[in-house]
Amino acid sequence: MTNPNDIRGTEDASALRRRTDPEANPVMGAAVDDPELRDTEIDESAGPAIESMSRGELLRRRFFRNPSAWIGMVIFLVLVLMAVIGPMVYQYGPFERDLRNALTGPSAYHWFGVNENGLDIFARTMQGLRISLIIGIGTALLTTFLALVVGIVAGYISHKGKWGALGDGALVNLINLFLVIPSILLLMLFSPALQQASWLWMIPLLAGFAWMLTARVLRAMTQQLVRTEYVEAARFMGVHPIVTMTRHIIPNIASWIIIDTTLGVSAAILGETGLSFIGFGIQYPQVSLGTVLQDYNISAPYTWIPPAAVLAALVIAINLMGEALRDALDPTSGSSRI
Amino acid sequence: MIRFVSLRVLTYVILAFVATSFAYLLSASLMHPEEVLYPPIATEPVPAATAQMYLDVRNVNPDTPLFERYANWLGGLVRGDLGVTTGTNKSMVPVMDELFTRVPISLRLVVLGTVIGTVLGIVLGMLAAVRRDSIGDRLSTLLAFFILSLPTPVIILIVQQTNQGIMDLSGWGLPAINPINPLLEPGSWDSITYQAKALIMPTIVLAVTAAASYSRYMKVTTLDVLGSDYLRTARAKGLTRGRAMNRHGLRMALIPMGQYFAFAVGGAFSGSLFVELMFNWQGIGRFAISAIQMADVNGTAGVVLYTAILTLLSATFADILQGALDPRIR
Repeated sequence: MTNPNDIRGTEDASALRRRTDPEANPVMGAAVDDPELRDTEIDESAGPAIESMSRGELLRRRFFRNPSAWIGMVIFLVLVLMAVIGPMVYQYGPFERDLRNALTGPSAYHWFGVNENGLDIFARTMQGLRISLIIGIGTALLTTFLALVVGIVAGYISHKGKWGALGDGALVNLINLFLVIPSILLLMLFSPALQQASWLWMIPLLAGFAWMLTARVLRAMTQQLVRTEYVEAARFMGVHPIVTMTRHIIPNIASWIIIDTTLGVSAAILGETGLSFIGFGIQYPQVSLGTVLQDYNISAPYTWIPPAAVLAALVIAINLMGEALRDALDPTSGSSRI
Repeated sequence: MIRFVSLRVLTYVILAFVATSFAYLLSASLMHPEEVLYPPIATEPVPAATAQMYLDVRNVNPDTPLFERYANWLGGLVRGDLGVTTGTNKSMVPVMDELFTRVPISLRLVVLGTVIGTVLGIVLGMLAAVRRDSIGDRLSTLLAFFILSLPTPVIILIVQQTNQGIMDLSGWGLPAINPINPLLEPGSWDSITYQAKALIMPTIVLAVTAAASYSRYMKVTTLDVLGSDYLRTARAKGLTRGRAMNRHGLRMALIPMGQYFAFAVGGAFSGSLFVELMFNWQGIGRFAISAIQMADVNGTAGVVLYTAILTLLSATFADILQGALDPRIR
């Protein structure tokens, strides 16, 4: 930029600046010295000009800026409304048989058609959506709770002497043991016994076999946090371990927990559907999306496409929301975002 | 490395043993084969001594303490005898024979599907990470997201319906039920081609589901590797992008995948369960479902033993692979 042949000094420059019109030549005629263009004074009592954004506000804005969050939320809300209102206004129930119209396609009376047993597919899909939603959300919450307890306790006690290491090792081996046996086999074993009581038993059952991987990750995260100075300081000050866990450890891993719970809803719905599909999940007085899919007939695609589409829309909506939450809560994961 | 692998194998053997024992105790205490022994059509009550003998020979007598039955079963396991099928299935086939006829059918599916799915997933995930934000990356990420949002039965239904649509249009399609055609002469060329054609759709389903999850994991690990210091050093040393990736990057990206692979075979088992059910293959998955439905204690324990051995083998394979890949272990 600097031209060695240019021998003009600062005085020449200020003279030039005085002569040029700032409008015509904005670079040369920088308005630094112009008294007319100086900013008006801000009095001190007005307070800080820029309000700093709170963390909640920041997260909210980041979340709502993401289009996939909006798509996911809209689909999810529509599905929830359908599940709530659908069975109320629709004229057929999930177990009312209309055998005269068995295996007929969508019509004004049977919106999604009738399967070969004379059962209305729309009524069954909506009722199944209700059950799947309840089971999905309930299971995800319970899974997170179980994983939180096991993972944090294992991570916290692993540095506490011989007994702590022993307890941690036992918990880790328990987790590995559950990973060796395919959980679907254990679910199939327990399900008939529990189904006799109530379909709600599906929630603790599914949660009981879904917490292992989350617990493993939470354990590793806690182990890292336990070594930090502030947790050590809290320990030396004699703070109770449970208080340390809730005040210092859980808030630090909260974002990961929220994301995992959201994605856990879709995992639970998929698990429940698979189990109900092979006949070990939701039983007769209730109906779930998996049971509806069970009545598929390849020569009549309308028997399985509506429940499959509703299921796919539900899971995709939840996954979209989960990924948007991940982007909002954990922007550093952007580099390794899937 | 040998020490590392043998130590791990020992852990896996113990885990497999504990898991199978756990499954036996669980199924023996949860299932009640004595309740389904006699058909309701039986007109007169069976003599008590006959009933006892009937239950004892199957090792499901509820009057025998649970741990004695477990000890009996363990003794059989040592001799390579897993007992006989119980429950409503009164044919009393040795579980070992049942497993031997069914394992090859299932293993064909699981091995082929897992191998194709893993290779496809690793290649796609790596390409997606290296060519980040290209059309191919976006397409494969979107596709993986979509596939992982569908339960396996729905994926199978989509594949079967597509096949049915093609068959309706062109009159040519793949066989959707039965792995073998009983009408064709066994061993003949027609029979072999039928078996190969019958294998295509189930393999597509298993490979696609496996590839979707593997490509996601592989993309993450490759992106981590791409941002690492040693890869930058390799580039600074003068290696081209491709050579640096092949010689240093790929190896490190595959190490975390090995650990994931160890436990993913269990997932492949659940996948093959749906495939066998919906394509009508008489494999282990089908046997597992019917065993649990029929309150077959010995059969259920046999299935769990099979899955435990499968997990054990794949975990050992993953460890050997890790030992070969990771210089820090050698």
